[in-house]
Amino acid sequence: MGSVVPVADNYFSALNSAVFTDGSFVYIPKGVRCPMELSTYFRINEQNTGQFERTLIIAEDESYVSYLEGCTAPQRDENQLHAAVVELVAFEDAEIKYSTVQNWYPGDENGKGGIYNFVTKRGACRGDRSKISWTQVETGSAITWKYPSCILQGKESVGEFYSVALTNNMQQADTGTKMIHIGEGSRSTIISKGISAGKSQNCYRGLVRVQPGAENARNFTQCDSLLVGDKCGAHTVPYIVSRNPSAKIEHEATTSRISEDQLFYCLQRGINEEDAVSLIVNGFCKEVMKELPMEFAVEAQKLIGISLEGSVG
Amino acid sequence: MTALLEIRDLYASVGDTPILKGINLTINSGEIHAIMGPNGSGKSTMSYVLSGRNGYEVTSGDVLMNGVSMLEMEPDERARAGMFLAFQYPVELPGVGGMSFLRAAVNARRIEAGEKEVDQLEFVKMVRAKAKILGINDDMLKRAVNVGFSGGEKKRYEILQMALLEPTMAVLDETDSGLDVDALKIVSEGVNLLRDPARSMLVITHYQRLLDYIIPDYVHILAGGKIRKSGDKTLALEVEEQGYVGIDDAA
Repeated sequence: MGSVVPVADNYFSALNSAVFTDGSFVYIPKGVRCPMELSTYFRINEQNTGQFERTLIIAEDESYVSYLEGCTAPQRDENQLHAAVVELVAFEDAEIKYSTVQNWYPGDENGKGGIYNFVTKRGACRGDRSKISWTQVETGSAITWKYPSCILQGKESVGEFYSVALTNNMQQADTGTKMIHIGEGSRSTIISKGISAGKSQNCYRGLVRVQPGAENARNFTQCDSLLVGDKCGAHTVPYIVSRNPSAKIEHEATTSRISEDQLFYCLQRGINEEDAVSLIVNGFCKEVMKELPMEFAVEAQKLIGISLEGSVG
Repeated sequence: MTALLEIRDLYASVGDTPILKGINLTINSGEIHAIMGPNGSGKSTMSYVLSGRNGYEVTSGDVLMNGVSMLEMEPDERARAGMFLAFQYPVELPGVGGMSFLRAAVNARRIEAGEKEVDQLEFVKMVRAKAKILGINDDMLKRAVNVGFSGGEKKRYEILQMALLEPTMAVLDETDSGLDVDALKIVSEGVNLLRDPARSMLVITHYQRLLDYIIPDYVHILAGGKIRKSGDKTLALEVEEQGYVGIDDAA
């Protein structure tokens, strides 16, 4: 613990390290494929409080685990703080799949209340051919700052980041990933879908860094933003640092609106406006949603519909 | 016979530009009417006014379906009331699975009618059966709505939706545009199968050739925002020979 995210990594990891009391620890022994999805659920009930849990997952050689976390919190007028730390370690040929559906209370339409979600998540692919895959659906919280990252040390190790971040009303989300390529032939994929509605601001911020030893490293990044309404904002801030001339890095980005044509087409088929927006937005996120475990994907689709309520018309 | 759709002295504008200038048209249950006209005559505007699209403003007159004015109804309400528009340019919905889209549309109607939502397995069977007639294969049904479809596939997909939604009033906006003869035949056969005493159709087209396959009861010539001439199917042939020029002059 503390080897992937050092105590002094950032302000919130230091705070977490100082005060944390609980969390979860998963150890998958060598050669074991965890046959079920491990699932955790976080909830913040207490008023005027902070929550500081830690998660540590270690996957030994040739093991596999899929881990899900869900987050909710009741409505409060005051803000609450969530400052968690998540560390993943994958050894040779091990794979960790980490999925999050975050639905902390986002505050009301005027931005009153809601959770401040400042979480540090990082995974180390220590072993050769190890793989860490982050999938997140972020719909809640007043403010989210979160960058689940991968340190790709092992040869041919693989890092993935699939993200849907949806903001409505006065929410702010600043999220993305860091892919640090150290090992030879390491590969990473980043698919980020940002949806902004209401007066919200949604930002993708990411770093792809290729170190001198990472021969033939590969990265593919795709950042798509969708705007619902005309008072919201979408921002994309990608950093790319390549110290190895053999690296191949691709970056694609688009920003679009829900078109009037698409909306009218759905309406004309008798689908009401809210359902139509939800269909179109879920279509936009499909590439990420299909990475979620089945049961979660259904929930997440509904959640996106609910989170968009009141954003049209 | 009862009037299913009644258009009364309808004037409509797009922005500040008047497009429709006094349309009168009554369509009875089970009838097929064709509207022909040159480019810019207001044909597509008419389809959007009937379906209630934003930006197509009715300045005076009325449109009644089964005796009830539709002008205050939203597009989705009109659709659930039985109005269907087969689009000239069907819209792509990236990532939206065809089956879930079709099911959402069918269920919206069922819920409105107080019926139970359609069972998923049963629905797949129903769609497949109707798709087969239109030459739509499983692969096409699995793709996202209209994404990567050819022009002909998109039009067939429109007719599939019509078959599933079973509208009482179907408006076909230039369904023949962009189709080769073979595709035109398939689409027309699909439409003809949907002919029903309880279903009326308004077929909007620039060319007569579509009307060789979908034989209308009445033909109307639209020019300059007004219906200039009405007749039976022979009127379409007349236009084919003489063009729209003579009709414009007569107005």
